Amino acid sequence: MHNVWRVMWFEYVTRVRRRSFLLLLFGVPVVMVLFWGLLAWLAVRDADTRPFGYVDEAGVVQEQGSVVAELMAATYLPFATRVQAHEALAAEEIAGYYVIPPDYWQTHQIEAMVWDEALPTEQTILFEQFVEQNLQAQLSAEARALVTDVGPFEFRQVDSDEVLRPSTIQFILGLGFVFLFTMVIFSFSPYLLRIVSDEKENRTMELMMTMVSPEAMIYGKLLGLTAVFGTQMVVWGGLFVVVALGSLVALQVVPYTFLLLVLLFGVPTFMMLVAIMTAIGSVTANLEQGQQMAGMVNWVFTFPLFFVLIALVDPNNPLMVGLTFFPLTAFAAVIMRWAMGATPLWQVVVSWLLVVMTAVWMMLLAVRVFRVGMLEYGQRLGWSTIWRVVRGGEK
Amino acid sequence: MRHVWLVAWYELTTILRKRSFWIMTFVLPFFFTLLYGGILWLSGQTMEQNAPAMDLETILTVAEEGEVEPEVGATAVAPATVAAEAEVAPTAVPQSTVGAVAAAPTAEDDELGNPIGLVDQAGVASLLPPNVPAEMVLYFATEAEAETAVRDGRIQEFFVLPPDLPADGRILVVSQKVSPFYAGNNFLLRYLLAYNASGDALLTAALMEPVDDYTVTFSAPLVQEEKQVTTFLLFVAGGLFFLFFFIISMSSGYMLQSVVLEKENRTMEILLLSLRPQTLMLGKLIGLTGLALFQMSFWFGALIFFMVRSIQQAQTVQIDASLPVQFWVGVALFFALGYVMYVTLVGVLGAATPNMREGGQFVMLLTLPLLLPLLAVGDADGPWMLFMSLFPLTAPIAMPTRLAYFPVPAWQIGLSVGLMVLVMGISLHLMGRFFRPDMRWSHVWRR
Repeated sequence: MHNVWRVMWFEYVTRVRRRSFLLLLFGVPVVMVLFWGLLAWLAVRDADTRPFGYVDEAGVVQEQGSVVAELMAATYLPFATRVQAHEALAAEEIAGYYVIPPDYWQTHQIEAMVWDEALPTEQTILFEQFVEQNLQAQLSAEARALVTDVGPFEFRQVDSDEVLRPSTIQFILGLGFVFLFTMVIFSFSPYLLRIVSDEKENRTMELMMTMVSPEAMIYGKLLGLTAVFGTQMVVWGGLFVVVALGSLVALQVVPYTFLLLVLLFGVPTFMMLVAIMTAIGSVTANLEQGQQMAGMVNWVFTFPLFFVLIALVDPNNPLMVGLTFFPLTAFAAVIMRWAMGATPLWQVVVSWLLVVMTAVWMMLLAVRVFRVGMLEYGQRLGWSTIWRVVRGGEK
Repeated sequence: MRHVWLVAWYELTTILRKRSFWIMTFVLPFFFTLLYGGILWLSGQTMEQNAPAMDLETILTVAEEGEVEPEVGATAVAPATVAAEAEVAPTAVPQSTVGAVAAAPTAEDDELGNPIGLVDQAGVASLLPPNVPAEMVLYFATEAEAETAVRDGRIQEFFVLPPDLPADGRILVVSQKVSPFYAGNNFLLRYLLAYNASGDALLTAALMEPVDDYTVTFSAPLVQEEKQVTTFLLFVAGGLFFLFFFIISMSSGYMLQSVVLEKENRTMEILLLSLRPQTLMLGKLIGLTGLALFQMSFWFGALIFFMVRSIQQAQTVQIDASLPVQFWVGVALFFALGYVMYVTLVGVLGAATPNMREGGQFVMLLTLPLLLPLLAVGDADGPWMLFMSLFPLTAPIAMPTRLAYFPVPAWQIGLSVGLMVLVMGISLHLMGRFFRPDMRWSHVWRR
């Protein structure tokens, strides 16, 4: 165990102390902040605080009894004719005006007049709400309730008593996490691939093998590289994670099921990734070959993301169930289906058992491949040799 | 010069002999085309199997375009066994909308999917809008009856509207397959409820889609045309950015790999005994540019071929090639110069970084400035855009964008080209100093 910590510490300190690492660590956030700051500055600089007007030629806006008119009177100034509105625009009293034409009821088209600045998207959304609420104002209170107060929808499968109440937070959290997982897989794999390639390429591996066992070497390096990656993630995404989790706690919607799933599936999935990358690093002659193979493995891990539309329309589709039971794709598939709100418990349990068993088997296999890779030093392992190792015939 | 060609030939043949290059060039695009084609097909099949009874477009198109005079009461389909009649009365319906309602599509129409069921315990959805065929909404007295219909395949799903619906908005959806975030039929149900609330087809359609689109007109003299140009420029700048970024990303990978590997395996030291660093770099540049051109011409040729075929098949898009000549000349000149400049800079990075991974990360930082011209497209003749069209790292995108907008003075083009050539010269000069296997950033700074 002592050797594991020593290898880990060496790996971490050597990589973190590099100036290039520090430059990237702090340079990327600075560049991003500057970039977004520039965008925000441009937005503020171009902002126009003048109100908009409207000309209602279709009888949509209700002058009496409309809550909307009171709320938005300051934002939307009424004009009787287009000429009057245009004079106000030319006099720079308003930033622009909308015309609800007589054929609005057939076309739902609105005309917008501005001077020389583009019509902001948020302004069009606001005016759409203005029109919508004026249309609703044409209904009695009871009738309006049928239009505005319907929902939430609850879901039940035929022959089942379980009622599902979909949560938007669950949806966003789940899908957001799968995207994050994809980014992590692609950015962390290069680190993992170097788990043995550095020492192999600079020929210090033989020397190290005289002092530490292959297991201590791999586990120590794994912990060290994880710590390096963790440092990068904490600095890059720490603030975001704190804000996101803080918001969820404040909203009292801490997704305990989600956290449990991430923990249960995340750890063995990570072990599988490490095992595969270690094996690739051991069997390939150089880093370039390793990167090509690693790229293909990364695609497999994130494969369920390609089927997001199918998961949305039919989360219990046979394809999604199949991806749930395949250990390499299980993590992403389970989280995606959880986000869609419909995954039978038994499938989650079976999937988790498969993932754990595969992870343990792969870790043992990785150490075995690494040993053989050491014996075949400097050469690429043939597929027949790898197959013998997998079957346990190579000692 | 002979050495330059020797290096170029070596680079070219070394990479051409790699299986990975051919896989990347020919096999990978077909693999991804097949993969994405398969995914699209599967997604399409799933969507078709779970198609809603009537989609939003069908409902609204028919609702807005129909001109059939209504027969009061004729369109109301009384629920089979629901006792309560709808009590909700529409109010303040605008005069202009009364009398104009829509024609119902027939059940044979392609737009129609599987019918839905309704268990209307609240009695708030008893009237069917004229444009919704009666066979698309089946009424049931109890959940049990509706469940039987789902099992028999007569309906895909049904909605249970509780007795206290207006007060308690919760609605239960029961289906063979549960997909809470797809809910394709929710719109139809909302449409039914809105129609029962308003009693008017046109008001209901407007309630469901208050604004379809905005027609924007610029009132300032001569601005209308300019604003249209600005929108067009955004596409031009965006297109140029993605094209250039893609080419640079691909080519820089080869350059970085070539330089860093020779540094790492220490053959660089031997090479530099018989070659000047500038010669070596120029040779690499020529060889790798040839490779990149070959790869890109195949990929983009295939892409353009498929795009043109799709457009011809669709017969809806007309390509407007009205861009000025100076734009195309500018694109050719600044792309070529920008490409050579960026690949040379990547070569410098390769010479100065200890390994491939760190080099790759720095290349990403190096290409970030290419994004900046996209932010200033709205002010194409402003000082910010002028600066970026002169600044070498942003010029390959900014200058062609300005050229698409108006004739740029010759001195600005000359200055921009001169600065890019200057950067290339400095890069080639520096590269010779950086070729050391143990090079660190502190050494780079001192040199």
